[in-house]
Amino acid sequence: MFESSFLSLVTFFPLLAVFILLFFSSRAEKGIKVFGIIFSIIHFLISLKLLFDFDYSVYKLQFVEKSKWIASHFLNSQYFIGIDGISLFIILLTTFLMPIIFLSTYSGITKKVKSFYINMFLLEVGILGSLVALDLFLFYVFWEIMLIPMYFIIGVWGGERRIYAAIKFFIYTMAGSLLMLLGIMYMYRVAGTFDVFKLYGYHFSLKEQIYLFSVFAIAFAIKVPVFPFHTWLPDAHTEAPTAGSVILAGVLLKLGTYGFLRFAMPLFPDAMVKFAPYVIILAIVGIIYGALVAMVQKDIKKLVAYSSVSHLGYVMLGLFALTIYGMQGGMLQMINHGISTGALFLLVGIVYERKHTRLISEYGGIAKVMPLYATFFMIVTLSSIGLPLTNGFVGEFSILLGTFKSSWQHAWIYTAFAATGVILGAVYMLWMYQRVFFNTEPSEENKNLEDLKIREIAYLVPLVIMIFWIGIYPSFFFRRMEKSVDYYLRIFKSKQTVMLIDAGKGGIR
Amino acid sequence: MNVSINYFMLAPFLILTAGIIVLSLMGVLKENGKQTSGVVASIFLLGDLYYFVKLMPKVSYRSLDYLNGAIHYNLFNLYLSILVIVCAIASFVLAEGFLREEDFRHSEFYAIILSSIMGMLAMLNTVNLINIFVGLELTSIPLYSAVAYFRYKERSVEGGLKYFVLGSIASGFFIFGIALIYGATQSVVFREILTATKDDSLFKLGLLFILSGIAFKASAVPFHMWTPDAYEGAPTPVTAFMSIAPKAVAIVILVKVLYAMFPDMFGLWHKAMFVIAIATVLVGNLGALVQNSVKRMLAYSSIAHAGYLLMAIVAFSVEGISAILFYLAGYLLINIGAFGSLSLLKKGDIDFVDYDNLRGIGYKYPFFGLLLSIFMFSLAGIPATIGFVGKFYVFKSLIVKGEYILALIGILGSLVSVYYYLRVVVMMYMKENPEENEFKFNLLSLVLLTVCAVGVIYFGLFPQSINKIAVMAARVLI
Repeated sequence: MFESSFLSLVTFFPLLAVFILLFFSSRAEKGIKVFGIIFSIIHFLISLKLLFDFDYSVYKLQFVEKSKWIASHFLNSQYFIGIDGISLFIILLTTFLMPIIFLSTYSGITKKVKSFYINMFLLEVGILGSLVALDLFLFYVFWEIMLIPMYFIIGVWGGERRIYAAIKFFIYTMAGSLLMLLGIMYMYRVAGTFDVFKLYGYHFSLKEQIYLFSVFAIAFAIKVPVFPFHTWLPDAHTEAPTAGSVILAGVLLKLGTYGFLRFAMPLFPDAMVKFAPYVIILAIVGIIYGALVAMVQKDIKKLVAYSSVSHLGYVMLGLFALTIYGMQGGMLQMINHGISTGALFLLVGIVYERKHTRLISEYGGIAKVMPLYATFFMIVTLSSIGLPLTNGFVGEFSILLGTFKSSWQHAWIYTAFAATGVILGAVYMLWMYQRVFFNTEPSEENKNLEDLKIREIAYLVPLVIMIFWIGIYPSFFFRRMEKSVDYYLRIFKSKQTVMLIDAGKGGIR
Repeated sequence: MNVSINYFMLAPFLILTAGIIVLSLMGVLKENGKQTSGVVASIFLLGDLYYFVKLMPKVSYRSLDYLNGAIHYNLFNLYLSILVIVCAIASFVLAEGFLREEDFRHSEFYAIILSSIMGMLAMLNTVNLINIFVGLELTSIPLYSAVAYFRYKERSVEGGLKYFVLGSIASGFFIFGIALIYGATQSVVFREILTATKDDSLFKLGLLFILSGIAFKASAVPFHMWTPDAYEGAPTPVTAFMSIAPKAVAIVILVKVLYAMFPDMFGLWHKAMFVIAIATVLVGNLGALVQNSVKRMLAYSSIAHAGYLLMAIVAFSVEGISAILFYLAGYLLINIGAFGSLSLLKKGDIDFVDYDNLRGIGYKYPFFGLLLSIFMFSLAGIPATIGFVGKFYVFKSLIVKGEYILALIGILGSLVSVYYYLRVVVMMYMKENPEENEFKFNLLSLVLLTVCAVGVIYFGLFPQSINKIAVMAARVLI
């Protein structure tokens, strides 16, 4: 019955949860929590239809819905949504992570439970909306709306410096998006449409492209975050509650890279080519810088946060390599990072709930008391490092391969530097692992730490399955991305050719 | 000369005059008249509203003129008249609860505001400078007394006095400007001034004085000094009213003066407005950053919003004007909501309008918190609210005209504004230990605020209906 508007159903389904939650008494915390879990599982199952019905034999937009939304003078926007191989897996990642997050918050969130769940569901709508929107105005609306619930999640349920972190997060992101808004207005003025696919066909002059790419790139770079724009991230991550960190690392950051891939790169290909070396260098700086800073962190969560900076550097590198391997790797790495880093935050959250500290020095030797926990942590650590057979390996390997094969000058130097990041990654993760789990005998207090409960295992197992699934059988994912990546590469190439011809004509005249 | 009196054209003014007389008498004759005075005043306003709404279809393709432009109805004027009246009714609703809590209700209050509204209508529905001046005075003088309405409160009187002294000077500027222009053209009617050849420097001087006079009423920098004090001192419903209606009227009079009388001097006033708009946005936003009182913060923010509107004036296009008209409609909903919410935080004669008073109030009164958050996010220009769409129209009109610097500064301004609007939300939801204040919320006011909040979101998602009328109205002018 929802065939024609299935994607809208998936996108706005969480609103139903918000509506139902309004009728819960805020005292009925247990009921709210159970409801959240069940509802998000149902949502995930519904969203699986996107995967099953997804046709990956050719490139086409699927589950498309297009209708008039705002039809006024000076502003015409469509309700235009659809998915392709680029957004498919991030959407599924979102719906997949939600039940896991809700399971983990079962004990993590103790105050204002109802508001928390409402905010989480609203956040999900914002995220899904910006992933499916193919109209710039619609995209922008979702993109900004997303900030509000995240702001509340950090600011209300966060740690000690939560207000600072929440405001910093909000203003940073807003600064970028407002600049982007100016860019969007300019594009609308010139091209007369917000429709992304029509805009792909529109040809902006090089000067326009340079300005427009800059504003879009800054907005997305802040979200990713690319190196000099990353300072909000450690604060937001450390102060956010576990659930907030997971959704932030798992999905929100991906919207930055997704934005690059969907908007900034194909819309302004010439400027993109001009800027690409700088972006690549920033990405590599981010990889190495993130790893080095992660190494010296005393707080486990901060360490994971900085490792995000490093991992997302890989994603950016892969996307800007402009080769099929690089881009596929980059897209897969988005998913990988969502799973591995999400899992790491969950794991950190587990000990934090027990001991209320995240300092590495407070732990040590707890592998003895929490063997099961140590095992899970090991698997996730290895996946984050990129050990073969885990997801991290596949992603990083194809990114590096793609970078190496790319047609940039000195591509091998980029590759070499980026590869050192892999080593550094192993250093900081394993060193942290060693200090937390081995090194000494567990201290007296730590001897009483309880190992994983069944509920905690229940939400870690799906993540571990995903880690191995992607690690062992990545072609399932690659196949579904392939055509889309191809399509986007062709857009870049063809639009650049047009530019060349234009330039040639100018020369003759 | 024998002029037959056209009662149809005069009807809205006659209705209001009747209202003022009735309300003044009610205060004297009936001791318990104050209970019903708000309702009576609203009935007169509704009468006017009905008149204007009925008139709207009639003027969709022509304008009605009476006494050589002394009264002039067209779509543009009617749009704003309706805005003003709706704003007045809304602030009457707020005032009812507010004054009851203060226990200082008098019929005269409504009579004062009604005469101010009559002034605004006179100012709007005319193409004659003298009439605009008469309207301006009729608007301002009652407002001075409305600001100082709580005559036993120092702040109220202080604000009123400041407003009065500075306002009189501005009126002087304005009338002097008219005199100069009359000297140059022997006319005070728009279209005659429009067609006059403007090579005389008297024109420039006249324009300068008129601009200064109106800029004062629109609280544009550098004529904004009175705004924070007057807004803070005034009873909150009056502030709500003042921050919308007189400001909207001042802005559109500015538009009319510039567009209908001096379009050929665009090169001259363009620069002036450019600088004023930038200064207004910056001063408003930076001033709002450092306030401790939410009411004062909103006063500064209203300066900033005036700045965005002034920016759209620089755009000098149908799009810019329609953006202004749309923005004003949105601003009406939001500001009634924001000040209205503040007016509810009152116990006896004490207003709780500091940031600290809002601590944890979002949990104590969840619904109230939700409403105020919506208004704050909307003021900050977050999408899916009317505030965002309004800003979008304004900034886009600038981009279309190639005014990138203005657009950029406007955007930066609204980025700064995010901080202080969010501070309200931070206080409500992220600070613990609320103060031990029990507020009794007036049901009628809450209903009004809910309507505003729903409007903010509905028109934020589907702005086309307001936009359509705004564009039609804007076309009248250019």
